[in-house]
Amino acid sequence: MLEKNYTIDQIHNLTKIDKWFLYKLGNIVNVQHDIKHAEKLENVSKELLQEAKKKGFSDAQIAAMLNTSEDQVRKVRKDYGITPFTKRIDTLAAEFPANTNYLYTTYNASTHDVKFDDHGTMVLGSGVYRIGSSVEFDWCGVSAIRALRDLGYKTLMINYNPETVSTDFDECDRLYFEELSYERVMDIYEQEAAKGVIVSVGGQLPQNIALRLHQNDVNILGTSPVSIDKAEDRFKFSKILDQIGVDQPEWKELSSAEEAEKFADKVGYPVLVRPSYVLSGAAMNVCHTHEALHKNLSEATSVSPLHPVVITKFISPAAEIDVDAVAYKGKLLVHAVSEHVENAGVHSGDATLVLPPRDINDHTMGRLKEIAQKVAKAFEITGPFNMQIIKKDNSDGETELKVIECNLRASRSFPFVSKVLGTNFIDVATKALCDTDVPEPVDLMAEKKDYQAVKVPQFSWTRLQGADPFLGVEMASTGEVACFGKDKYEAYWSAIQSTQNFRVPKAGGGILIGRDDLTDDDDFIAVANTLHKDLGHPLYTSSPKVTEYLARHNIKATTLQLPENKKALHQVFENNNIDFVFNLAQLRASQTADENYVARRSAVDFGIPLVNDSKCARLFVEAVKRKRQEISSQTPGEHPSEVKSWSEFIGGKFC
Amino acid sequence: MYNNFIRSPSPVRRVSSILLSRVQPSIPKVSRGFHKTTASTTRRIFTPHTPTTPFQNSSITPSLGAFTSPYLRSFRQTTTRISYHFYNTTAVQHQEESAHKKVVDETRDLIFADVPKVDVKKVLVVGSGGLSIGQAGEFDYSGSQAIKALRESGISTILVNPNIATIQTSHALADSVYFLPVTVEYLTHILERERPDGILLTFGGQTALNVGIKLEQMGVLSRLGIKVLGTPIRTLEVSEDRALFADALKEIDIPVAESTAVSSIDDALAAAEKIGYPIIVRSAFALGGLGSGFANNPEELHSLAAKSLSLSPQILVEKSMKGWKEVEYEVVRDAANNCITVCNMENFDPLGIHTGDSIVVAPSQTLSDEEYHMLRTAAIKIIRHLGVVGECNVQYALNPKSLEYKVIEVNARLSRSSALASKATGYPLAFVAAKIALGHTLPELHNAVTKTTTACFEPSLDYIVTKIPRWDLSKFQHVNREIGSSMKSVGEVMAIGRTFEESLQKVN
Repeated sequence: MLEKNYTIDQIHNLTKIDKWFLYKLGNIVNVQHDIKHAEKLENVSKELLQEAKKKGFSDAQIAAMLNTSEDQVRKVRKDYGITPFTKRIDTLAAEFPANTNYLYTTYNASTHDVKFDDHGTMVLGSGVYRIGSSVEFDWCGVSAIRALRDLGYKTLMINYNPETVSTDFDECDRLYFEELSYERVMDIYEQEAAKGVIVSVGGQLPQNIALRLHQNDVNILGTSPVSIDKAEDRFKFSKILDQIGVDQPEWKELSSAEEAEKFADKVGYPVLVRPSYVLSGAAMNVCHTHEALHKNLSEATSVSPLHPVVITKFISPAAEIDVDAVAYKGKLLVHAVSEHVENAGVHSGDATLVLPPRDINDHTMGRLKEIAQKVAKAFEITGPFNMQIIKKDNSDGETELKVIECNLRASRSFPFVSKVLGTNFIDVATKALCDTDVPEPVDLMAEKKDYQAVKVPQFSWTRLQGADPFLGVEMASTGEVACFGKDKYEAYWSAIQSTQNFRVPKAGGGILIGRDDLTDDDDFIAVANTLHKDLGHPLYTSSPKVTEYLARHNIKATTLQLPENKKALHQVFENNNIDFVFNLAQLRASQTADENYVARRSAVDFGIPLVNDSKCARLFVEAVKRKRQEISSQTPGEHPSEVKSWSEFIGGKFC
Repeated sequence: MYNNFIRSPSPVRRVSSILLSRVQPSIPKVSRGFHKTTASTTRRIFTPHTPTTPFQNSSITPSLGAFTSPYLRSFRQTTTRISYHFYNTTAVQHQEESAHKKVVDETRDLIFADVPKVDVKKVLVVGSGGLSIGQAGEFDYSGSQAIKALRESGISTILVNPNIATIQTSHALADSVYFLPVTVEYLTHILERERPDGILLTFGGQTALNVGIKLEQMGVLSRLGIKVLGTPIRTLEVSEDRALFADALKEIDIPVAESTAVSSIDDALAAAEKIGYPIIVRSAFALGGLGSGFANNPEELHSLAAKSLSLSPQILVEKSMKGWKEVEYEVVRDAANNCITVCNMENFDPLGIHTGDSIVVAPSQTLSDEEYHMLRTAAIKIIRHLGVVGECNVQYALNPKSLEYKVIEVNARLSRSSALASKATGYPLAFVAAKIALGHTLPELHNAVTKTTTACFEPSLDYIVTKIPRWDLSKFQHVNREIGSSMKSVGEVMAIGRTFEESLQKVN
């Protein structure tokens, strides 16, 4: 608003923000005006550039104002000798020496507080937590630092997220509480004359600057950023998969709507529209019809014009598998195969994972390992990587395996697989990255375990007013939990109860059950049958159509009118003692009057547990059935069998 | 500034006995007072502790509990005849109240020597579970710090946390880990199985706190003889219950922001009369902001409440403090009553936006010296009165045009703000809080930055820190995009700079 020449007083009256802050913002805007006024980089004086840096302008910001490149600004700035100073945090008013390794950089200083003779190894952290990148990458970062320190290397962490352990100054030799931008990382790397940089444990953010760092002579440890780029670019990636004989769904790079529609007509709907360089599926969508595709193309293509948009044949229904692995110079060291409970189409971050799987046969397990080996070799991977693979059993008994995604970095399931299998994948990866004490390859999946663990997503629907509690190709969960058990039913039983606001249905409580035309009939009937006949819950639906459908399968249900008024709606839930909601609809609600949206959202608003996927629903009702039987046969005072410590399950300690 | 570090001239061996003898005379009268009253608030206080499961002393850390707060103290001595005279309003009790207050005032600033260490060998730490909006990575950080502190003291630790992606769920930190739900049922099973001597409830966010309070109310902790380390349960209960909390702060003349839940127009008008206009009305059910609004007089409130109540069965009536500054203090207190404010923070945007969704700067930049010290003194008074043993966060609303202020909230546990304050100052709040829970005092703990001086210091920063939240609302359909009193951000970043401009732009 200052840019639009509002006065400080006007803004203060509108916002009540203290004028001190507004005057400071005014200072920033003034510098911005000065730079814009200079028009060209050559016209920017050393003093102005210095002033801009002191006011916190990044090279990229300055470049954007002057229509030049960040590298140009960086070069001019360094020629002027304008570089940041490294300071220790001083909280003692200089009364005592602040001998800390907690550092930051600033242009408002005249000396460095530290000497640069460590030549440590840099680890780039996860940056801000967001949907798709969260505490799991903090675990990866901290695991990498600890592994480096064990190997005797000096460590240097860069991260700027205050909610993390990686920004705890007792975890590393030097902590730079700094943003993970190319400019800052480059400054610190040059200043510290660091040995190398690990970019593969902090999620997508460090990965995004890897190639530029590499092009500017930064020593990136492990897999070459050129390979990373090949894997990130769907076109290059696909070409390599073709070369090594690994199957993938039919896809096409998109340049015009006509071509896209022609391609979709050829391979048949549904199709998946997706841009490259995404982490949790921004603008990604499944299109079931010609019209839906047309609409979505316009939305998806505007996301990242630098990277092309791709449409892929969407294989449905099919199972999805996550492979997490570590390789060394193209050779597979360890790998983990986790099975998704949900069908393909639910974002892997929102999926329920089972490890080790018991429903994949040895032959398929062997083929999965082979794919991992081929990919590791083709991309000359050193370090962590992750793949998502579609598994479809054909009527002829053949199993098709198609790779849909590959990231040459640690994925969000690394802590899960490490802790379930009792081998720290990041520890292995760090040794591979440093080319020190690299362990021999071992097939962790060949060892049979007497337990299974299930990872379940945690959503924050209650906080997001109005948001549709629906699972799709866009990731929506904010966290995850995982529990162990003697089998997946027991593990799921504890895991789902670990999620916020969840509780198991009370005996005899009413259950609202819903579906749409795409819901799997088998699943729906199985869930309704178990709930009604085995577990004795009265069933309710929100549409006569569903009630009739259930009646045809000899399942009794009552249709409820769901009124629009929230208060009346709450009354309907209360009157019918609705205690649990299963909504297994497959299509996203296009408007808020949609009965399935109303059912899902009401569950969240009224604090009633919701299950919104048909495969999860099946697993859940089966788990309830088994557990209710178990509990009834227990002697009083006996603890349920899932109440065991982690080391009792995995048979040892894990660091 | 260092007044509160001065130890009492003569070492006091047994803190509690001295204090208890001081307050002894008031107890019988107080009990009488209780029998007379039928105030609903008083009932609410008592219902959790039925006569069959009396509140056991053993479940409060002996001699580490709150001794400056009369209701907590009386709790200690009487089990079933406990009383809270200050909730009563008759004239007789008013006298007792002031008599009692005098005792409180006298004891408030005393520092005690020779606080015994808590005798525990095995401690269970309750984690926060899966990350969600409002309860995110900060609890991995605080839990990890707590476990590090316990480990350093040679105490064996058991951790319950189903969040498998965390750093705390590792045997490098905890001796034993349970990946199980943080619920009363599962914790009871684990406690019965492991039989720890102590439990830490303040490092796992709201989840751990709620479960801990329930475990106490159900008598599980006392049955198994498990000590609650650090801040006593009673203090946690008071800080969590709006009515109890408001009454407790009234006792020491600290103003509280009041919020009343009503379900009829008449009740709304009555509540507003008590609170004073202007009023803000919020609906108890999430309706996309429908039914919320401001009212400057009874007429406006009447029509607003009528509209809101047609949409939601319950509405909240609160005093409007539009345009007030929002300021937080992080305070630490040990069992010897040493008390410091580690950090204060100021929101860039005024009251109305959830702190989690606000741009926050540390230390505060726009407070006058008088304002700063007024709120600092109040924070210390509050934490001492409530009897927090460990870390505590106090949120204030401050009228920019006068010295008027109100306490919005007190979190008697580690919070997102405390994680931010730790990073902003380098002062490891969770680590220190865990050590304090074991009976260490601030002067004997080390300053983590210098490693040579004491932890009993108030950091003074020669830099400025800015935090900016991150939202991810584009991932959702039909979601309400306005920010307000309910937190929606999924993460945050912080930057350190030497001017506000630098620090703000670095984080941007």
